[in-house]
Amino acid sequence: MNPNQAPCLESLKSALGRMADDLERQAVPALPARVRSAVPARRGWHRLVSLNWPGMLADAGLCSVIVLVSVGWLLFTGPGPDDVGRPAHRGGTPVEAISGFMAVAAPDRWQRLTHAGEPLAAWVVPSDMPRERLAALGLPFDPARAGDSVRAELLIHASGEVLAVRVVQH
Amino acid sequence: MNPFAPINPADDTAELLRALADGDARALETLYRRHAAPVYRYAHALSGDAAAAADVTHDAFLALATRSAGFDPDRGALGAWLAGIARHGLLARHRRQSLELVADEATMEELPELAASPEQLLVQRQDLQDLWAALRALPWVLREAVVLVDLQGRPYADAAAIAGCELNTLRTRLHRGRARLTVMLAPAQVRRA
Repeated sequence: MNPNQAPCLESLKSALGRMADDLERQAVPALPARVRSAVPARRGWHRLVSLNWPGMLADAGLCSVIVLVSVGWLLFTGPGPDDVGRPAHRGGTPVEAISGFMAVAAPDRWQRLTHAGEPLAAWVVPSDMPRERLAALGLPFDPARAGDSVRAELLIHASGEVLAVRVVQH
Repeated sequence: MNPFAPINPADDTAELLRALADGDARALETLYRRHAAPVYRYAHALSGDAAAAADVTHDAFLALATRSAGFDPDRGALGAWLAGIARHGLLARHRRQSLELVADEATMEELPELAASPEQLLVQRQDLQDLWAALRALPWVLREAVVLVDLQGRPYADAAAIAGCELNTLRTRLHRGRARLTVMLAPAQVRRA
């Protein structure tokens, strides 16, 4: 090959590269209905036989177990209708609220969460928080005990967002 | 089709084909998303006609929808099978239009000696339209080899399967196609030299 052909072939390579890029940019037409509708329909019994029955039964069984466990857990741990507004129990010992619920979420957030006529999907969850947080809630606290924790209950929306908090004690 | 089955493009083609044979149109859609682009672009590059390329691509998938049993995975990949069907469609169109199809490979001239400076040989100023025109001026079999290997980056074995020829034949066509294209893209004064 003539040495002068080398740059020529390089140019060809470059040109082919540009064409390949141009080709890659070509939009592909969608699957037309005439092709889609050409898929032969089989009889119902054939489809039933061809299903992956063992796999589907295993999936259904697993889903049933998960649902049963979840329902059981909610029945035994979730608050009942009579518990609304009451402080939660800790290990069977009733606790006494020393403050009402104080909103943490912004007012517009409350409006969005509490749709008119719909009950608020929220849970009261016992927690501990640093005593110095009392100041942020507008409650008195002893600076000497700022490092201590205080028992509190959080009102948590179903989405996981903390809506309000109240302080409790034994 | 089990919706919880793992999706692995390398392994689920057989399952998709089974589902298609069972009348599952969603399987056809999945296969179309996966294979339509290379088939369409191959046909478009060969024909230069978007409508014809779309038609033969759709005909290939029509064949898949109605005659999927005709595909034998032992003889090649599904993409190559679809491209082969599109190729037949293109050839039939060209025959109907009485266009020149396959040039006699024995009469193709060898690449001439080009005694010119690299600057003269550069074809980078050519715009894409000129490049495509040069490609489409190649005889069908040479153009096809260049499209399959150089533009689409297909392995030689796949390209040979689509073109329906032996591997060595494909290599020869590719070499000649590149050589011809090089000459066509070179400036006129260089060709005279």
